[in-house]
Amino acid sequence: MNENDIIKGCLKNNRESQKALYDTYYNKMLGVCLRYSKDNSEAKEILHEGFIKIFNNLKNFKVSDPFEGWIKKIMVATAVDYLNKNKQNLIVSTFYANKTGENTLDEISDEEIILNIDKEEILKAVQELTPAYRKVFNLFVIEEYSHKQIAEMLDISEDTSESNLSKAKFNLRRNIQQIIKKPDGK
Amino acid sequence: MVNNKHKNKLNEVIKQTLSSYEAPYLTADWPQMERILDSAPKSSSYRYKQKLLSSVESLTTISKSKSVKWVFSPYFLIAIVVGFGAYFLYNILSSSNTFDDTTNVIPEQTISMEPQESSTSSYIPTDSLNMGNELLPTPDTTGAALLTTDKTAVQAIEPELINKEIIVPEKINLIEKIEKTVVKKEEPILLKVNTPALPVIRDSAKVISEKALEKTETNPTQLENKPQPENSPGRNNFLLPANTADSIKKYKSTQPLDSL
Repeated sequence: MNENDIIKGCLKNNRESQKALYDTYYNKMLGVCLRYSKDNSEAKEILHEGFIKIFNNLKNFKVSDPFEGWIKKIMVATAVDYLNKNKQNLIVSTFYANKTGENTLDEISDEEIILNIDKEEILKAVQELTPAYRKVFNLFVIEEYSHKQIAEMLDISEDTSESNLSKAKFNLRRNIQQIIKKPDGK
Repeated sequence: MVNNKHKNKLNEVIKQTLSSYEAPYLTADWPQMERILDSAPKSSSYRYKQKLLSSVESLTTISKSKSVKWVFSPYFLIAIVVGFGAYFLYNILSSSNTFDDTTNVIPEQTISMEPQESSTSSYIPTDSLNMGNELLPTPDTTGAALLTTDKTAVQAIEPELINKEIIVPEKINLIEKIEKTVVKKEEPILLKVNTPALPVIRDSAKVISEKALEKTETNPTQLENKPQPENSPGRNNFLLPANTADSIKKYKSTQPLDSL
């Protein structure tokens, strides 16, 4: 079943086509959701919510656009909405970050970090960021949005976006160093 | 410089790692997704929009035909909208007007329902008599009601009073007048009542006057105080030796019969 057949089947609410679409983009989209969420369960909530939106809005998809990019956009928007909705998590995470945060970095060189860290640890370091920092970091660094776009998306000022990005990078480096320092970090 | 290069390299590594990150597939997730799909309400907007679009499309195809093209012209549509608006406004205004009319009418009605003052004018109130503001026609003597049977009173009636119009302003005043005239007997009055217009009043007046007459005739004190002419068969008449019943009967039989 090719992409066009999947789309046509999903437009007719065909369950097999829906499953085919889900299976095809599950891995990549769950990876996106994991970057924006604090853990696996939250990521799956976002994933399922995002797929519902995809199935419901499939009629709006333009054939000229890349399908994967369109799905990813919806998934990112769903993740941002999810984090905006759950502001309770933001308070808890901020409290946790303030409690455990340190303003100094260990003297571990970036080269050493690159050599010793794997993708799971990087993902874990990102998930440990506060939702506000996580959102700005993902949108700016991974999705490559501008600060202006981020400010519009998150309803914040551009200065706040820039400030959050710098803090997010600092905290991410600190999180990575802490993960590397731990003996059971890997 | 070296540190900055490493930093940039680290950022690039993080970016590449995260952007290409793929989570392992778990077969248990699809049933969960399926349950959500089953429970989630199907987007009705899609079908609604489709229907709407199809209807609009059909309308546009109809409008393309020359015969009904004028129906879909913007001027025609504007005219319809304006017409409906005007009708709506008219309805609102008319409803408000009717409300005002009723509110204005109520006090007028209350005013008209108030009892009017009894005036001595020669006009008859329309409410009480069901007639226009016209003078009562001159009644003929045959239809007149003689309210007294006293001979002396009848004799004392002046001829000009016989045909004199008595304008009754109100029913109550009329009844009061009748009572006064009958009881006091100061002035002998021939009450003439408009027969077609006041049958009820006349009847009631008759009843009242008759009752009053009975009272006066049976009341001995009133009989004693009654003014009598000199040649009448009164108690104090010197021609009669005694005012007995027999003597009065005899006297009456000698008198000429009353033409009335």
